[in-house]
Amino acid sequence: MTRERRGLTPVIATIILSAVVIAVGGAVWSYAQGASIVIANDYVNGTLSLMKEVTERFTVEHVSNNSDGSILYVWIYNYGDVDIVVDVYANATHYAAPPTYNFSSTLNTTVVSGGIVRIEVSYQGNPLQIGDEVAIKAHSRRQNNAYSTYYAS
Amino acid sequence: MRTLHIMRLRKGRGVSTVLGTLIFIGILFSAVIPMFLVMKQADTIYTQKVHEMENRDEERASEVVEAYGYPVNETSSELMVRVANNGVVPIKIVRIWVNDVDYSQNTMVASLETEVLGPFPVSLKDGTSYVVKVTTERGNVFASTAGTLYFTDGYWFTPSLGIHVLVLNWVGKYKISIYNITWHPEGYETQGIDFGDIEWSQLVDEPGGYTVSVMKKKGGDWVPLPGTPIGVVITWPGGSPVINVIADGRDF
Repeated sequence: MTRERRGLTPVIATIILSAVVIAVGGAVWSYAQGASIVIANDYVNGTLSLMKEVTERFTVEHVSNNSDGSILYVWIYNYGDVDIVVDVYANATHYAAPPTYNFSSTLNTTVVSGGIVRIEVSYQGNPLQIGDEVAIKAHSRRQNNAYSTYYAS
Repeated sequence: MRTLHIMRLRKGRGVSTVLGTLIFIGILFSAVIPMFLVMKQADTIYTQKVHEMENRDEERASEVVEAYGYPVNETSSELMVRVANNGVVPIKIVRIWVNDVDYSQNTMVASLETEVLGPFPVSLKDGTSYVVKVTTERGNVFASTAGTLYFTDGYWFTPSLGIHVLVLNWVGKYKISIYNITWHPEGYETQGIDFGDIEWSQLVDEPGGYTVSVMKKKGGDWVPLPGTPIGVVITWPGGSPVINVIADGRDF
């Protein structure tokens, strides 16, 4: 009788211990799976984002200005595989004495893959004069740049 | 009795260890390994794309295009554009620019081939310069080699006429001459054995027929390359002001 009673305790203990191990293990398993999915998704998204950054290709294809020199037209050609959002900065130097400098920008223009967009950059201060050198920088939101130099005509 | 008791305890511990190991292996195979596989796959796609873009950049850098804009005739309001692809990769012309006006194109030009595009209507204004540019699909922009076209007093003017010779070469010494019946300038001779392609341009005074001769030195003798001497005609306006001649001296 005594031996039978004593025999129950280890069995129950084993069952309880196993249940605890399974419960804790299952929780850890579930957490690990969730965490691995989140980590993998983050990593893949980061890699895809980086991939878009390295596949971005665009150039300043053409530049001109209007007759009174108040507006600069910049054509951006996106010859890459992904759509881009560009900010165009133009820095003009007037060589007349004394030299003056004029800075303008046009932000947030979308150029689809394979497309070309004409971007207007307005000069509020001194208008461009013939021969003024304009340094143009097209900056994409993925941190790529294209540069061009233009002489006002 | 005591020994038996210890054995029972060990049996109990063993179950937990086995379960713990199974759970660990389960986590390893169902969470960690798939995670690393997905990450590895993303890395592979990224590396593949980087290599693809490197190839595209190399192809872009290897584009060699000569473009010539010219009017249909001396007083025409239409321009033609001759595009010579002197590079090793085929190109696709996507746009022609005449000053600030662009004309969409979709023309493939194979390596070492020439295409004539147009006519492109232009609004003529006396005393105005016209700059012709060609844009390729890979993002290169090539300005007209003939320079700026100038329209004044109802007529077109261009800075110069010429003949451009490209000799495809691995190794050799060459002599190039361009002449016609009344005009026989000195020509060009490479100074020694040259490795790589040879280019030479000759300006000419007026449109008309010219003969282009390309000779290679073989065993002490000057031997004409196959296909040369060849006659070319500059028909500007109405044709390109610059003529391209390509001779192959590689297997000769």
